[in-house]
Amino acid sequence: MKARRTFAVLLFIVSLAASAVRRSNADGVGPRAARPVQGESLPPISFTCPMHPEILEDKKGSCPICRMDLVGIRLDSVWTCATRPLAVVETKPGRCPIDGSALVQVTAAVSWTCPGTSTESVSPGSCADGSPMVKRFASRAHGNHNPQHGGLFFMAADNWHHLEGAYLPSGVFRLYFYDDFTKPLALAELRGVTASVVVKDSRTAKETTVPLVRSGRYMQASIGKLPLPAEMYTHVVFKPGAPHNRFDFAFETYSKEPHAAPTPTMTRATPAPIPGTPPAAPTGVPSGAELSSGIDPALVQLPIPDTVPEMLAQLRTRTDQIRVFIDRGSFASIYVPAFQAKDLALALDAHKNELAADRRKAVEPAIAKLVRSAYLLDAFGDLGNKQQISEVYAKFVEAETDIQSAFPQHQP
Amino acid sequence: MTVITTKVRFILITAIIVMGVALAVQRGEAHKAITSKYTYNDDVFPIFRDRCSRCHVTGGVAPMSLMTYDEAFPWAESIRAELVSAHMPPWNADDGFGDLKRAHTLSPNEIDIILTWATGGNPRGALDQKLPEVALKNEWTMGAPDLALRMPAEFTVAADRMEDTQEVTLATGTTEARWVRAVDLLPGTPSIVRSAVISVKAAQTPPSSSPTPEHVLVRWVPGHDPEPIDSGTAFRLPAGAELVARIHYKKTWQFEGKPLTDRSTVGVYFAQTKDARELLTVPIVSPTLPAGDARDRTVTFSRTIDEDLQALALSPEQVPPNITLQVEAVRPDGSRTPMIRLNTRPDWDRRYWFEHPLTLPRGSKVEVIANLDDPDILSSAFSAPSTPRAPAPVSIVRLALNVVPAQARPIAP
Repeated sequence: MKARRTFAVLLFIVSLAASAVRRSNADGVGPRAARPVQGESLPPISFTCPMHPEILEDKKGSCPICRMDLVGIRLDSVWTCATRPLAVVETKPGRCPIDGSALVQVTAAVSWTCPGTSTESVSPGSCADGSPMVKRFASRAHGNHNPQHGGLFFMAADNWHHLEGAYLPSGVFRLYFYDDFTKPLALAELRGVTASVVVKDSRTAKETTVPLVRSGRYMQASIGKLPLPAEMYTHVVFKPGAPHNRFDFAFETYSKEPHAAPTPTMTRATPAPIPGTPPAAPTGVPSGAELSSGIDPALVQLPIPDTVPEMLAQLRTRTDQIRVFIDRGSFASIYVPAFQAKDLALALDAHKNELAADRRKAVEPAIAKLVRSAYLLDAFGDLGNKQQISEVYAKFVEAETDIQSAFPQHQP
Repeated sequence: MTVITTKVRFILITAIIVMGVALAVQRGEAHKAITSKYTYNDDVFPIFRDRCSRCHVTGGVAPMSLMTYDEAFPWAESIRAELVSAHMPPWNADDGFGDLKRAHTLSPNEIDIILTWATGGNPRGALDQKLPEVALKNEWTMGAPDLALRMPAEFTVAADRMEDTQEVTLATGTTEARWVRAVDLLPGTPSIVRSAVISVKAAQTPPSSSPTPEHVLVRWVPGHDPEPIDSGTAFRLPAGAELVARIHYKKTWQFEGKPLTDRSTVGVYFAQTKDARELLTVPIVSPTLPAGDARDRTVTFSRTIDEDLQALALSPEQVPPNITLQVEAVRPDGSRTPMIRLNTRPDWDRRYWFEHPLTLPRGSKVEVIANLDDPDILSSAFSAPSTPRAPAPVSIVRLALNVVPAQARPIAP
């Protein structure tokens, strides 16, 4: 029971910092509204511990773990090359000038330094010689959830481990392991991991379990060349006695290692984006990465339509888009159509008084169920367990069907 | 548009995750929107006050108060989990199935407001905004009862116990038979009175094919209003009857290691009219349920009604936890009427009243489909991801259907 109390205290700290961050971001800007494009405004200052980056407060103080004084930090969301995080930093999507691949989005700490000194500031200024300070980006925990080897990237339920599955053209399935900074897992830790991949035969639906064998910094097994799209899932235990995790992978193409790149520089390097170049479809990066390309219509937020039939039609479309994401294994993107569907359902809720009493009574629970399911899909989408996601999606579809049939003017 | 929104989400969410990780929070809100447009002060508090304050208040039976920002926001993650799984507010019937009275549920908008707030950084709102203090209300919701029966002595939940049950017999001292329209409980120490079943003490009723008098007057759970029976139906309380109150106590973690005492009061509300029809009960009992871990286990059982009846309410009397029970009336002509769909949680058992009495002509069947493998999304998602669930220790399902014969005329008790 003591643990409960500790837990409560810890949760308190988390939420305090979280709310602080949100407050400092509010600045009179509607939460769902677009923030002014970066450049004019600096990201808000938070305070973190030099030794414990997980500590984030909205005011100065000391670290609850080691008592060190907290230091100021600004967090920003930027676009960078998938294989060379922060070697290049852009404010908007585009292509990596190093290897031509699509840029990916990461969260980084921003600071300003004077070259050749240890001076570091959370705000821009001038150096002793009068030159402006140089902007610098540093990686943050969970700042980068992008695949590093052209595969599919997931976070584990423990919120610390991350992994990436890659299916190579040679028929090898490979699993890469990372920590919360998306740094490769230390070898000592990797030795404690046990994992296997379960391959589904698309014709017979027969499942074959193949243990993964560690080879250097990854674990792999030869599973042969399956017809694409290829579905498989892994069982992973991160250390003896730890809970068991399942991750579902659906590869539409074989994973291709991004280009080898020249030595990166970790300081300011902001080459102009290549003008006039349309964002190329990321090759070898399976569907998980559409977020960075911004072109999948399922990921585009639309305004809520004015009429009930249009709302119902859009709700139908969004529901189907979730299905597509689940089938493709793009679990991390599910929340976009799920939340848009939720907002549509809430908009329909405002029209329920136009219905006859019995239909009105039926539609409200259905809308409530859809709202709940949307938040569950959002939570499960990050964890990559297809069965969990599919179970919730089934409830989501039940709710959607009930909503559709409650509004008589638009029977599908 | 998408890009900017995504960007805002990323910045904010990262802050949450960063902390969530090291603090070993079961599941942090990962990489997601963190920009709640709803604040505690303006949006969330009014819902908590109106919907949750019977229990989630200082001195209430819930493990935490939600009536101030500082009390509520540490629980944001738990609030999310309870809400998405429909565990809270505790109302275990699916609202879309059947037509039940007083569904204690939140509206879709209320759910969305709380979830947006809980997953979106838990903003407080204006710091200088004073919210009204919410105090525990421990009072008779129907007004003073006609007959208040206080427990003869205090009951102590010992320091080393977290849960306990007492069964106490209370003499009514009535000199004549009376019709009773409702029975309620006023906890002496609200923070530990978790549930109660209050019945008329009677000899064991032999199994009968016809409905028998309903002796269970109330299945009391915290925060639930008593449902007075109207339309000329009532419980019969014989002259000089004794009531049996079986009270379940549960301490929250704040009281661990401390002895707590309780002296609750049972309140009896007599019917206004002299004549009434007696509320009867028909048991609906399943065969022994299959054990083991076979998936997709569905058991269907039914009870055929031997006379023309009106069904007024249904309560789970004995149910295994975390299964789904779907109950429908099947009339002789084959027409079906949904009655209730329940996700069982035995510590929240209550009597569910139908909005309108359901007519069950002779030969009707009350059919129950028990799905023993309905996934409990909460437990599968938030406690042990990816591990197979242990099969529920199931044995039997017993429901009580409350009825009155269609021909019954109001009479004196």
